[in-house]
Amino acid sequence: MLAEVGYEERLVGYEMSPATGNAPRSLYSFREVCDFLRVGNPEDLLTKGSHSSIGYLDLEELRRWIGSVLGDRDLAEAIGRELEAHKTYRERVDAARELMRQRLEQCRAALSE
Amino acid sequence: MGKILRVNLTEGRISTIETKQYEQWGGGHGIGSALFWELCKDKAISGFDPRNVVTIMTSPLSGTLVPAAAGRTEVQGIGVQGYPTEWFTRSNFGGRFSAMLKYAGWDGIVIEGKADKPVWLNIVNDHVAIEDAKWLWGLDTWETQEEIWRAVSGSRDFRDWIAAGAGRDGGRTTQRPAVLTIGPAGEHLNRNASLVHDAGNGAGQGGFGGVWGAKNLKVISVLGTGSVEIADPNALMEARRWFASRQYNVDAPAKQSPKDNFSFYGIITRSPAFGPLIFNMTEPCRPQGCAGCYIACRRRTQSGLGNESQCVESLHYSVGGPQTQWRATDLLQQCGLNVYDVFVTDYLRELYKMGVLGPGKQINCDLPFDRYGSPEFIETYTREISYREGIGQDLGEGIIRAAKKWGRLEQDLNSGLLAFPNWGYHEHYDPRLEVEWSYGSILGDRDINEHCINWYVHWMPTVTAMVGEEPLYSAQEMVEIISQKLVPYKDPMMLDYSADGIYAEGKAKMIAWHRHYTRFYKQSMAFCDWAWPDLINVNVPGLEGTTPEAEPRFINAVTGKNLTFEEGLETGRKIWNLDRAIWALQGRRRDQEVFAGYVYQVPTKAPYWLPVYENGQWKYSTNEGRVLDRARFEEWKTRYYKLEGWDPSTGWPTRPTLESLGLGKVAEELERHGKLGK
Repeated sequence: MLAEVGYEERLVGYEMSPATGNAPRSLYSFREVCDFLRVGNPEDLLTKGSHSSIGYLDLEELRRWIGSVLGDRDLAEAIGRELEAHKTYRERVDAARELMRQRLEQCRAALSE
Repeated sequence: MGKILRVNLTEGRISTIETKQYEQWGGGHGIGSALFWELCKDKAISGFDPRNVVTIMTSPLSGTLVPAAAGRTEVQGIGVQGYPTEWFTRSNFGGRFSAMLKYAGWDGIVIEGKADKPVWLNIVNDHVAIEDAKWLWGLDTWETQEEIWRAVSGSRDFRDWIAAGAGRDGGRTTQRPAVLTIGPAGEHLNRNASLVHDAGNGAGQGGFGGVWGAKNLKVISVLGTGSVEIADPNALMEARRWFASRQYNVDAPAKQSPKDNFSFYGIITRSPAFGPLIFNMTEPCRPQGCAGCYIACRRRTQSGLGNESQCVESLHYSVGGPQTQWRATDLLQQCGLNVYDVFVTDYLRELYKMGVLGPGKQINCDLPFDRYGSPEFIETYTREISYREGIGQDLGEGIIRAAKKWGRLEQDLNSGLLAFPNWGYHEHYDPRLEVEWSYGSILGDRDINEHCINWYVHWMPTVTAMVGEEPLYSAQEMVEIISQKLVPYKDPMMLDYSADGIYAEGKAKMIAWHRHYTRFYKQSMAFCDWAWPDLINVNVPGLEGTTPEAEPRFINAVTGKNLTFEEGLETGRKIWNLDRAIWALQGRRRDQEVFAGYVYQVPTKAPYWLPVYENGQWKYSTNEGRVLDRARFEEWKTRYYKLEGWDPSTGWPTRPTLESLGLGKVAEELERHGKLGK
């Protein structure tokens, strides 16, 4: 689950920043994806400072990537349910992020990190 | 207007040029282009050629109290970054160099020739000396500046006076010299080497650091104790009061940020000191700005990390933690590297992941990708490029030339893996969508880096949409307000970014307005890109910014002229045509003005908010799934060339156009070279 994937299996997101516009960013691991996916709320955009850009992912693509590339079908299905339940991009991201955060913690606990 | 310093490094000769004879060009870029046109006899040479002429120009507003217009310096000459041609190009940096140069009595500097050993140009008021710089060669940009400060100022405390000349009236100051220098990247003739001033001001694009290195010019320092004469001081102060009354009121903001220093809103509302834009400033810091700037968009920090850096240079290694990111930024400034060319660690990692780059691979590389995101990775990467070690031997030539050498250029430009849409310059804003940026770039010489309307048409709707808030103004309101300021056209369709609008006549007018505005007001009069034009102002009822009233009002107060906004645009058109003539002599042809393959082939995949006019209504659209249509873009080019009075078959300026601008001699020169449009 936490291993890096290969080039063909990477997930591509877009870093949105006033300084650079929309910059593609290749993501090679679940950790990178968890760190990258963020959307603003004013508090995040301020407190994350350097990361005050928006880390944009196509959330359907994210769901498929987690299910097929990482093989975590349970998480993919759970994310799918949250995407159905919420309307705005920000609400969907917040819900997906929370599930991903929990899974990352479980993985770390299993690895005794 | 005063005088321009002319330095011939080959002959060691120092002379002066009266600025008055170039007054018609305004200042800055206009005068720089005119000087280059006259002094660089063969414009088709390499930027590394000793015959290349480099100008470093101030503007009439430098060192004055005009808001956000006193601290920029314009650098021009044949750059070494452009691909496939090393175009005559420009760069620009902030800080206090231009103000200090004016206080020393100089409007600009012209550098010709090549010294036979490393030199330092030492300017103290009207005393100018070409001095030995062998003792500085090898130092980074910060070390060099400290050495110069010690050499000129002695060991005085920062509170002590420094005498600039002999006697009571010789001039004195508490300021250290303003220093512009190259680092190791420039010394190694890198095409991605920058000029650096103070901690974080850099002229990066164009590779002028490498050009200076080829001239053996390590550093220019200037100490001035004079002042700038203002034609009508009362008018200037009155204009400042008027302008201040329309700006962000820190005691009672009309559009309050959700939190103090909330950077995105800082840009949109013009809130001063929005410095934490880039960095995660978790430590005490205070605002820092260029000379005379009320915005102060940068910062100085308690730790000293990340001082003064404020833009993309701060983002090139955001995969690391904050401390790593700050250090990575400082390393760029110290080595004198242009971030926009070395902002490719992601690309290199892609090649590594593909198995074509790495130890013993097709592209041999010892960068520690297993520690990507760590300080060690970025330190190794920066050092190898700056000193031309390891893979830096290739990357010092710039990423485009490196990819060419590796046999990857065409395929990676077509796929977008290497997102460099024009002339070997990194993508900035999406070239398939935000076309005032991409069209302006492909018609010129570099990534234009002019945010004139970008804040309004793209960032305001993007930020508010992504955080789930209502836009600060509707697309309809925005178009109505801005279009009335885009004189002489005043055409709302200039702001239509729909799939049809980007190929329409309105967009040709938009590009023409933008090219003419920036050539005069931003690059010649040196109004800062992050503050001007002031098109929409959320701090006043009606949302009307101060453009087009403010710019001529400030210029006239300083110069005593009676310039109208339209006359400024016309001078911008004249400068744009002169630059176009220079590029024609360098070999520019219409068929070269095409983008990299991915712009036409790879659809956009992320939302990108811009105003569109569809079904009789203005709205903000996400514009997903777009590519640029090659045939329609070619039709648009014809439309634009005709609007500018250029030959549609070649893109070259015609005699009637040049003569109408008072450029008959330019037409004659083009005709001699067979480059005059028909």
